[in-house]
Amino acid sequence: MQAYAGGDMAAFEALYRRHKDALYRYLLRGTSSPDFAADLFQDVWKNLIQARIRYRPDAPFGAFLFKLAHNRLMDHFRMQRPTTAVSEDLPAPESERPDHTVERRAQAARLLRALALLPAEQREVIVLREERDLTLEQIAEIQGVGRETVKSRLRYALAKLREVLDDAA
Amino acid sequence: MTQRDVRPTGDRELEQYLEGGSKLSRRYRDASGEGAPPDLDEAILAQARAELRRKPNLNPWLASMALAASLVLGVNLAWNLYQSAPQPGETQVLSGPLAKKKASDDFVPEPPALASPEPSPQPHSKARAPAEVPAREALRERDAGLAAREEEKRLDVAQAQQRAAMAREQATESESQRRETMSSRDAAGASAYAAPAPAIAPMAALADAAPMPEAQKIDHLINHIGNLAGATFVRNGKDYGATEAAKHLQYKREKAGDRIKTADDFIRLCASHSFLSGDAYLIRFADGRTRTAEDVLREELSRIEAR
Repeated sequence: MQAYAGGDMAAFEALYRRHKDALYRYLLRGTSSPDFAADLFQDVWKNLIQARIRYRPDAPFGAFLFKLAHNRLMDHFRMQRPTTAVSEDLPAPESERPDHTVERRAQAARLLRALALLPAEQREVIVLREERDLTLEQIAEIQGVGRETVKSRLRYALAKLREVLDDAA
Repeated sequence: MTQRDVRPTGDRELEQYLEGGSKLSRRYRDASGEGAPPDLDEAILAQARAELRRKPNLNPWLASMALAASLVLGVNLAWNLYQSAPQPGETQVLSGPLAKKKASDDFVPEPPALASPEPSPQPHSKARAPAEVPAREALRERDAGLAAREEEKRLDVAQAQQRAAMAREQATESESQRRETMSSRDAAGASAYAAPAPAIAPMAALADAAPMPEAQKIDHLINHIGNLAGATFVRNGKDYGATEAAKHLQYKREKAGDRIKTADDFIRLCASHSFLSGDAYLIRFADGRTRTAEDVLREELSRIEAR
């Protein structure tokens, strides 16, 4: 990032390629809408580009990037009316997806549906952990809470997801 | 699926999960085939490139410093003018040159030497001149002093104007030098803003460097589309003229309301693609080339922001 701030476009491109898909999925899991995810995805990179001079390598770039993404996602939630409905963009049940005949894909789809039903802060812990392998401390920093809170969220999330996985097994 | 219904995972299972390779992680990887849409890649990389070329916004800290410096200079100038202006009841005699003005500024009237048999001659006569000076002469001296003071003020004002003009020229030169500097380096170039030249820059020079307001940029972009002579705007597979395209973009802009705060918002949310179909808006130019509206607008935006 500092190389980009110094004018090295190739450095930015390398960073972008490395993190873009994980960031997109993080936003997709957070919003359950490809349209929103795409909008937020652009916003996050735009913010990052504009903040390039202020970037200090106090934390891994991934943690910095996902902190920006978390903040943008929170802004998005504040602007949206709260809803408990599951977005129509979520994968449809297996019975309605004849193309998904492979059991593995079906289980993956079930996992995504279960993930979408988790409270946002629990889901975020799982996604950050899975996408970037962030530590509990880094996730705590991103969420602005203590490590123990993150641990507790992770415990509940795992328990709920385990039910889905066990049912599917 | 609420927290009341589920017992949280125990330490052992948590540790196993954190070590990696859990069933959940494997399923998650299987489910994670999605990636950022390719059209976003190009847009973001183009934006990153454009941002490197663009001059950064004026540093607010620098603007404050320049304002403070201008205030100090202004107050100083006003104070000097005030000091050199004749005070009520003052009939100080001065004759012309600024060197003498300095002497008069330093002059401290001595208390009347009542006991002195020979009053010392006063270099600068005051209204309370010695009684032996005839009243008419005193008046003449006063008038001459006032005229000289007026002449000095005119000289001061002329010199101040000359200094201001020189400062503006210096500021303009330093601004153009700074812009050249900033175009060749970015983050490190921020320190170029701290160069001493703007310290005497009048606010007019700072105003020249102010970026174009976002609403004005959007107006410009819509006009740019409307003025593309001979171009065809392709929306959802149908052709529209440039004027009609501009009207459509203006309509979308108004409909979006507060969601559109920046020119980038406008391009991204109103002018890039159809909300209904998701298809990109295209522009077919008179020479047969076809480009996406987003590319054309981002290029134009970069151009006006680099000005």
